[in-house]
Amino acid sequence: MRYKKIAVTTALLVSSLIVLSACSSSAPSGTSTSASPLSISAPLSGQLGDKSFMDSANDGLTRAAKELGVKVKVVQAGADDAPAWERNLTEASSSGNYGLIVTGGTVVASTLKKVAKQFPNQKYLIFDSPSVGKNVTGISYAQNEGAFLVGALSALITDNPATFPRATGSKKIGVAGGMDIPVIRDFIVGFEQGAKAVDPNVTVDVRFINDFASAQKGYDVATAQFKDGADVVYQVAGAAGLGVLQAAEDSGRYAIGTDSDQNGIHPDSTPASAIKSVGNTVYNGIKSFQAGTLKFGTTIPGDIANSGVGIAFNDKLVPKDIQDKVDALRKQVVDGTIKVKSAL
Amino acid sequence: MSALGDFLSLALSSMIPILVTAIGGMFAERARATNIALDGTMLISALGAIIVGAATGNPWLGLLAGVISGIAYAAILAFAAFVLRCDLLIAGIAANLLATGVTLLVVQNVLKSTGTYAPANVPLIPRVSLGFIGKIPVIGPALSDQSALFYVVVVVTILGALVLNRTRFGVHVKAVGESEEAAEAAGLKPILTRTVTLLISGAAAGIGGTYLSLSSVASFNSDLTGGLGFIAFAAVIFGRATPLGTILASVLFGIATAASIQLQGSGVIDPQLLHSLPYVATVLALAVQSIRRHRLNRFDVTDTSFLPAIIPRG
Repeated sequence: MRYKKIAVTTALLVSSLIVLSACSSSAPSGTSTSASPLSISAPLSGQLGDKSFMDSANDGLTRAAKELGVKVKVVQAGADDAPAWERNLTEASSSGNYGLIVTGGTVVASTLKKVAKQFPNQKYLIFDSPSVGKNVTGISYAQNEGAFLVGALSALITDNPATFPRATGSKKIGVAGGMDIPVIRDFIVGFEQGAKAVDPNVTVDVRFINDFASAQKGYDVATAQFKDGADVVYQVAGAAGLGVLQAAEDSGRYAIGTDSDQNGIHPDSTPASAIKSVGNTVYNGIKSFQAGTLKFGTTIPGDIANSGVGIAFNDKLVPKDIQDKVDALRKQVVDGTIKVKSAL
Repeated sequence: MSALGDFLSLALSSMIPILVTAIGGMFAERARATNIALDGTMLISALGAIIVGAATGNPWLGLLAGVISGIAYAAILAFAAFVLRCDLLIAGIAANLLATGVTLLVVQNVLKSTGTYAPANVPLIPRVSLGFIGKIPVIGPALSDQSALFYVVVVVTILGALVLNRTRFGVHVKAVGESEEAAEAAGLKPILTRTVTLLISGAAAGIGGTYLSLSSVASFNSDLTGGLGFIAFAAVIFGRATPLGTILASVLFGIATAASIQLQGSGVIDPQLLHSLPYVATVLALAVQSIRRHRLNRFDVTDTSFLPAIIPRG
């Protein structure tokens, strides 16, 4: 009896483990027909489907598979599952089947540092982080500069309720961050500076959802911010940010998207998105690796000047003169008149 | 005053998924059929609800699907525990792990969606605006525009309390929990009673799961619950599996969650500290309760008082 019990328990556990591991090593997302194509493994530090950061990276990888004839295998993992990132990275590295391993997200940098040291001959490309080893190329984004632009726009929105009918003119705007981590703080610093550059009297209500996954929590946090008077809330929270966008729609105010162009999800309440061109930069990185020009141990910067970050307006909501005002600030950042502060 | 109303409104909406899940868990706990898989059950139901809600365009059918998937998942747990004779706690842990895997598998391979499933134009469970009641200070903003599920949860909670304390079935549940041998001797079927309580907890967690995926934002991913099912389980234990205790514990967790969101706006307290509030509240609550029980029990030699089923009876 007792043995049977143990056996059944073990069977249950094992079967659940099999199901779990079956999921974590999923779906090759591109194939090629050329003779010996470059194989790329992309163990990511999160899940696709956020219509934002990770999806943008996936776009770049898919495009590389289609246009450059490389084989790409994307492996997803939980956004808070650090052991899985390490496992997936180590597995891909030790197999020796991949010419290049692509990963990304600032959170995974310390894991990659450890793994890259163990496999000195394996080449790595990490987006959204500086290089962490001799065999690693980093791609960093000046997210503070992108946030600076949407911060300026948010201040313009709360200052001009006549142009933006959903605004109340409260001179209050907000940020809903995923977690209180340095990269999110970097967004916030830029956002605040952008808002103050337009109007020093605007106050910024900073709150954290403490979750990158639960849209319901994002919704609750943003709704609280709108009830406290915020005219615009900028979401920096991955999939939880979908709740922030929805909350703006329901509360009759505005929300600003992040990383990808999210203006189309709620076209009446999303005047703009801050863009991180993760897809483009990843694609370009793979392209130059193929051409043999990718320098390892260095970091490719992406900022306003080279369009690594930027702003996508929703032309239906934001009139030309407001766009011009934001663009004027953009030019001042490019020519160095304004230096955007960083939290990193 | 509207600040207080807004705070209460947030506390009530944060409480919805915790309370209903905890009320279901209370039945299972009372029959000593601890359902530790509440979190996994919520996850499975949330997925079932959003799939059916998106396919039929009717959020109430989504709710029904959520409840049915909750019951089905609890039935698997009951099967493992009572037919296959697996330890209920271990099976519960496996069920929680399995839920993450199964949902991810379905989202990616059946729904052909990447990690987060967020179909467009899914009708959501409506919000109820209360008309003139909404104008009353404090109470108005607190109650108005809550999800219709809030009222469903209130009804379920009252029903749950009545069933446990005022019906024959409730007495059977308590009897099975207090002494299986005595219950069996009196002609009850402990396994049957426990199975039913597990199914009840599955159905209730189904409502909680539906709230997460189909009330404010139609989106699902396999990290959706953020441990809410475990907080609900803590509410059961802290509430000593009594209706009133469980309700009060859930209210406390709702208030702690609302405080962690609302106080951030004041900028006075560090946000990291605030985010730990619901969890600190859980630990403190359990500690206080345990100390009190210890003091009460020092001279108490009877063996019928409630003891969390995790702790084996000596």
